[in-house]
Amino acid sequence: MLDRTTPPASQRISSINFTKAENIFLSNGTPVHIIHAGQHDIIRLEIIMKSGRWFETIKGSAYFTSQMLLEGTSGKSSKELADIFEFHGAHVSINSGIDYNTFVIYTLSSKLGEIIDVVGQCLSDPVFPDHELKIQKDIQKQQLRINNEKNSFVAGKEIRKLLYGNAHPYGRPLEIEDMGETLNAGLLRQYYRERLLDDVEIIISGKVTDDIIRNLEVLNFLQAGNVKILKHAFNDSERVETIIEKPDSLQSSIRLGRRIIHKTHGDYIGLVILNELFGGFFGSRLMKNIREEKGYTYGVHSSIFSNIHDSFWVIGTDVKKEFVNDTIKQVYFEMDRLGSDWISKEELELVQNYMLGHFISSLETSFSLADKFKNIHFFGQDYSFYDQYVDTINTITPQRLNELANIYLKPTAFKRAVVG
Amino acid sequence: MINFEEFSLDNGLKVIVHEDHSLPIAVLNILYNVGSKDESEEKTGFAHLFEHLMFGGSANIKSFDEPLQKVGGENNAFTSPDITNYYISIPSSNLETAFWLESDRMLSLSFEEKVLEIQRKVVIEEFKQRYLNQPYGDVWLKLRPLAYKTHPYRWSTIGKDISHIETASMEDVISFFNKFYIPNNATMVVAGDVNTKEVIKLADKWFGNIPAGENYFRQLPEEPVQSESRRQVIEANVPLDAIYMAFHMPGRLDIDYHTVDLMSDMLGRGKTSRLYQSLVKDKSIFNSINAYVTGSVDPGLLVISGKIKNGVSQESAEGEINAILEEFIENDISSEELQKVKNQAYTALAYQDVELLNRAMNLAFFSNLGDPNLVNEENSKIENINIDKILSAGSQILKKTNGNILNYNSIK
Repeated sequence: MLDRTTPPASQRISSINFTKAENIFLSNGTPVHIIHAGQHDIIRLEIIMKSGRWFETIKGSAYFTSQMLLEGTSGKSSKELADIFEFHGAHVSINSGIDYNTFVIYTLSSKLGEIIDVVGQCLSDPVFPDHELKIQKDIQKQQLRINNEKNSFVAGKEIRKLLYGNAHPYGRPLEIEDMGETLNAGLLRQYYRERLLDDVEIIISGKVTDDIIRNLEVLNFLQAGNVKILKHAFNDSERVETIIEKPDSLQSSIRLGRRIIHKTHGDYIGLVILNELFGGFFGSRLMKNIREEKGYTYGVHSSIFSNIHDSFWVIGTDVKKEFVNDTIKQVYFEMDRLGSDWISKEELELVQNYMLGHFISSLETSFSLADKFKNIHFFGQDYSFYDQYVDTINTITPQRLNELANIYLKPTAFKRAVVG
Repeated sequence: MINFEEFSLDNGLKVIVHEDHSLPIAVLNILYNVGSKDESEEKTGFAHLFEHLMFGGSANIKSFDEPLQKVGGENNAFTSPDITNYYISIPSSNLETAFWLESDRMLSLSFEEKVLEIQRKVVIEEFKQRYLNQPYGDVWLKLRPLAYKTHPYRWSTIGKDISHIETASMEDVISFFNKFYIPNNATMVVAGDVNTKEVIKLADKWFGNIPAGENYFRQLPEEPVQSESRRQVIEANVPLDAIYMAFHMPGRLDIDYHTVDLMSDMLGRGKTSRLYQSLVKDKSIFNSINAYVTGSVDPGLLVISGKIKNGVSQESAEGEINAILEEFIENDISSEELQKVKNQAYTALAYQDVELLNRAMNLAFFSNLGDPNLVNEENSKIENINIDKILSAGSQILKKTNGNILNYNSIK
């Protein structure tokens, strides 16, 4: 008779091996990081421009300058550029972020040679046509009007404002009024000339052949390392709470947040484990309490966001309005509980194994391996970070988690935004 | 090319094994052949509510998630109009735990009242979060009953109405389980760093003695051919007017499915598509517009959806779309345009195969439709499409009498 009540024997994950980036340089010295992995005939090329919102003096210049790279060169219109990329089945986009702008191309390996010249032209010779800029601004404005109707979007903006203030690049959102006449082609050309390509690195992942590497030589006008460090002081605003009431809303979006230690801090990995336990996965304390015991919400999540210059910690959920106060109370309750009681060995073991398993799964594709590389390289870390990560997961104790909770997870340290 | 082997257990459970030893991870995916289309009209949203209950404890195991997390596994599930699909991703050395957990909940659930009570609340909050409290979130709640009058695709997986979820009873839960959650109504795919012989052994050990149930013969009413165009106008608190046009099209296995899929790409996928290029870029009438197909197993929909710029009327926006559709049907299509959408499709197919979980899900999906190897035939089906096929599909599908129009008006 089969025993269905006892779990089958299992093994603890002890060592984890994965493909690491190989670093080469184009003939002019631009760094190229190659993640050579996977059986599939598809590659991702990322051109990382260290010229995000952090570096702009006029709001929106980093975003629109980078987006406009696809909207026309001296030889080709926006339409002609898109025709070439789409004809070859390549998927091209630009992610404009706080620290970086990234030109991303997904393409069949065999097609890279057909499009790489045009990628080069977008980067070296953009012309910022007025009518294309107007279209892009209009699209953005209207999209923002839609997003501003989403409680979760607004709550996310408000908590970042509370943490960083409205004047700081990590806190200030791009608003409709920022997309007026000041943001013109002249300004974008200036940002392009003075900043956009100051410091560029290339990452390519997938089945990377020698031919593909030779193709990249087209990009040898790009350069690395010229970035002028710009400092922005971090001043906590005194405000601790923003409440925006929306009488018609069926739910309220809650965000609790605080600034937290930098990714390179010695406590960081321990904190990532504490976060996982607290609200990072389906079996977390918050999920069990607020979703699985009370049924207040479809989901509640706690996450640490690490940017180059600072990190912040946010707990977010959407709940029925009448449960807002009790939900916040329960979040504080769970914070306090981690600060007062040591977690059980069983719970610790569960989180440890879950995190190790999740870590292995996150190494599955060449693209996720490239993400792993980015998450250390641009923080000035090397692969030993992941050895430490696995090691800390394996050796952390209930006592240590309790200490960390007492240092970092105090309800009074968290600011609140409630929208809805 | 996705390699696989298949076998069946005596109780009717279909099993497919796909080996890929590049990393020490495995996926166990179970597809139950039940979706929201199998619900009765009075109890909609049930397949999805049931999916939530599948995590609330089974015959011999109190909690599904914890023992899995304890061995480094993670899991999730989704419900569609056609299927309910559960998956586990786990370090391959602990694969047997996945067999233990999945087989126990196929054997029986614990059917606890408290679990039902909580998950009803969770699903109601999901209903609000995803469908009611989002701008345009209720579009499919409106568009489905407009386009489908007879076929059960006329309601969404979340359900027609919150009250259906509120009144779901334990009796409903048990009879649903007995009818659909049986080995002969399921397909299991085990993929990754696994060994076929080992999988045969484990499948037999954990699933072999689960009794088969009565075979489910699906008998759904066919959607009659639409003979005149339909329209619904709604108003909501949204910033921009929007328009949705849904045209009936063939189901996933129909010989013309990929033809219509490519046609929708020509119309509205990417920046060079006809609708985007003309209406967003050249004329600045829409803020966004795209076209896509629902990809459902039974006859589905080709949908054009666009957000209209402020100051442009619904009538003129609709007129502009119609002009582009007419031009599409009446004029020839260049071989470049056809090659473009084919190339885009090839890249998308290659991308889709990168993740092990996607490969496992696709094998399960096509196996459930009769042949897992269909997953390897997608490329050649796309290669075989020519301009005549697209033009002929276009004239049949894009005609006004086949269209359902939802004018979604802003009252701001």
